[in-house]
Amino acid sequence: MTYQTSSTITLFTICALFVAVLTSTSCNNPTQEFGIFGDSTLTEDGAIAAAEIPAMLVGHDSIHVKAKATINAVCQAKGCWMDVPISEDEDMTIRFKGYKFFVPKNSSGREAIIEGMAFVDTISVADLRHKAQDGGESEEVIAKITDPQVQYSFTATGVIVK
Amino acid sequence: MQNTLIFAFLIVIVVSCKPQKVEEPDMYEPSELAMLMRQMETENLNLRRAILEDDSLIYPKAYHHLNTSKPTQEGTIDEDYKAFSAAYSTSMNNLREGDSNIVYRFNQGVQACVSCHNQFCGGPIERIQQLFITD
Repeated sequence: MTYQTSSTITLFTICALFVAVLTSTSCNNPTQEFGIFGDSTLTEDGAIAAAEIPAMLVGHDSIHVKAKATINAVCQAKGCWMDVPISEDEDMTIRFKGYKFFVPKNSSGREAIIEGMAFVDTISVADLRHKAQDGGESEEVIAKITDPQVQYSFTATGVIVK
Repeated sequence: MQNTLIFAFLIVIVVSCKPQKVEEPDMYEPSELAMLMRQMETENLNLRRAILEDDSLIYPKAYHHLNTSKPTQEGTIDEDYKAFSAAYSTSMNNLREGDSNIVYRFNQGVQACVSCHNQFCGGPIERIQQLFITD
């Protein structure tokens, strides 16, 4: 192999690696945003962490807030509710104002920006069972739901699913 | 040699740039029953307006298909569901037959919807409750 051929191959290898790295970062976009649902004017600006909501609700029946969190679960029947964590062991259930819009059923694990009213609500056994059914829980789990539950709830006017 | 290298270089670009599958949002496609209930809402809003404005009543029709439209989840149309559906139908039939207490019968129909949704799917209840005539 001549010196010229060897240096051409080396140059080719460097160029190929460069192009591979460049294209791997510019050509792929597997985490495209799902978009805005409900209020189309909603932006991310000023969103607080959803975990701050319980402290903000102290002394109030409800508060208007814009928050962000990672989606833990979504209604698998329609996408008519979703859960986001507000502490290590507690979720807040988000429903959509007037039942006028839903979110994609495959939104779990994505970050969401939500705007609307946060409040504490008592959820009936029928609603808890229906939610568990929509969430894909087994008949056994659903049958174990026998008491109403007090939980943080949220009525969203708009949602961004990232 | 040079042509081979150029060819290999192009192959690297094409392979590196192979588009990855982007996750599409999986949106709910309304079932026959969901579409029917939207139609029922529109019909009831029209009926409500006619009652409040003392206009000629346009009687709902969509409810005739309540027991035969395909629901989002199989098994929804059971005996309990049919009982609520029958209660709504009775209210509407009474209205059509000239029941003098129009507001009472209309609200009775709306209450049948609320009761049914309490048992099957609470999501739209707030929206349905706006149909009640309270004046």
